Amino acid sequence: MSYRYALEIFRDDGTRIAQTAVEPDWTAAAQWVHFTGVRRGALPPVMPTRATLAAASVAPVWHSDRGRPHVSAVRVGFPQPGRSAVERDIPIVYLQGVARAVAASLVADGRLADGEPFRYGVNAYPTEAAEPAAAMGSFDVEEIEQPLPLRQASLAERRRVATGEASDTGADDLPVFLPQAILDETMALARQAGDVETGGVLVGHLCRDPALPEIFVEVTTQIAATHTQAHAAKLTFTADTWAAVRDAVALRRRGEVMVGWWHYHPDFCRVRQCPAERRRSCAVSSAFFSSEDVALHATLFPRPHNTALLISDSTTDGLRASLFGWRQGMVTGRGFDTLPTGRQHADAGGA
Amino acid sequence: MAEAAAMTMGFRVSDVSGQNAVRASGVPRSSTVGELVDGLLAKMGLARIDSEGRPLNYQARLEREGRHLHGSERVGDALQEDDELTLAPNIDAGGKEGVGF
Repeated sequence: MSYRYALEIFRDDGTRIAQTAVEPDWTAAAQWVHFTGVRRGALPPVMPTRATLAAASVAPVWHSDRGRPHVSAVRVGFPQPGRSAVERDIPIVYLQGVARAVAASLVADGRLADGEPFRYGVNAYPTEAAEPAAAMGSFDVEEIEQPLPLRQASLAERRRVATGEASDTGADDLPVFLPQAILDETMALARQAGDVETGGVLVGHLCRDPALPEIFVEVTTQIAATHTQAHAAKLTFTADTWAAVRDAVALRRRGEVMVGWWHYHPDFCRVRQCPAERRRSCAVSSAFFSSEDVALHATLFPRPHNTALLISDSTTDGLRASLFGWRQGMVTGRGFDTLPTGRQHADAGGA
Repeated sequence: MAEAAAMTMGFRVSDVSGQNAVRASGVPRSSTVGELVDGLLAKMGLARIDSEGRPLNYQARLEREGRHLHGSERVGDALQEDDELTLAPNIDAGGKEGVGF
């Protein structure tokens, strides 16, 4: 059974303003659900193609009180012949970006005041399965299903030597280990940058502990981005940046892959010259991932194991490291474990 | 048939992280690199606009020569059969929301 979806937009007092048909892109959710299956050994360790992701089942979970057509979540799954499907429920906050876009159009139409708070709900209605879109363009493209570049390693061993609390880590979050040396290095680069942004790429290994089974990421180094254009509130990674990073990874010859990226937000209160007394309560003094940051992550690091390290500066806390990554198909703040300097692991054979 | 094949080419194409890779075939030799990139973005599902709706500018790097191709170059002139291309965008990160500009 296929479903078409609609968003209801409400004023803060509950008055419904509009119901608009939407076509959600479930790719990120499907990718995340697929990876949960890979982590548990229920699905083959590959990076799924778009065709695989498009074949995922997506069905509404009806609201427990309001019933059909009101949706509280969507259940995304990968059926497996003779075995239980790999399934996860994705909350409707997944459609928050779509809801914002719909609200913006209502503002443009004068049906919602600019800045007026709104709420949204999701409806679903059964429909015939859509025909696949016709191929575009004058040539053919065949996706290459790539194996996940896994190395065998012990998660327990990493956790034994890790320091610090992996706070903000959700139950389904992929374990991520960052060496203290990389945190020190990125913070030093941030200090050098001062009031302009800087950044780079995180490189490392995707490891599998077959005894659990579980997959985790161990970052082994950072490669500072070159050929960037840096400003106080913007950092442009250029095509030359990515070429230089790929060359650097190849030159290291350690079988590493790009597992994510990092960048630095200066103390925006200082940049804005906010009065010192206001800085403690200023919203931008805390670590945040901007819409540009989310878009970059989704564009270049869309796989569920990809993460982004943010070094942010503030009057109250100084330099601080935060990690962002994929959870339920959405980019969100998450925890990480720190490996003490000199305790990085060189173990690991092939997958 | 053979004549049609001679008028087209095939390449391996990936994104910057190497996590998204495709084999493109039947690419007309007479097309431009710009046309090839446009077609690849659609077929590979790569983002075409940034967070503010502005078009993202991608460049195709020819790994054999270690250079970015110009959009106006002809595929049949610049590329060889089975070449490897990497699509890389100019893309912004940043805390623009933090400073209000």
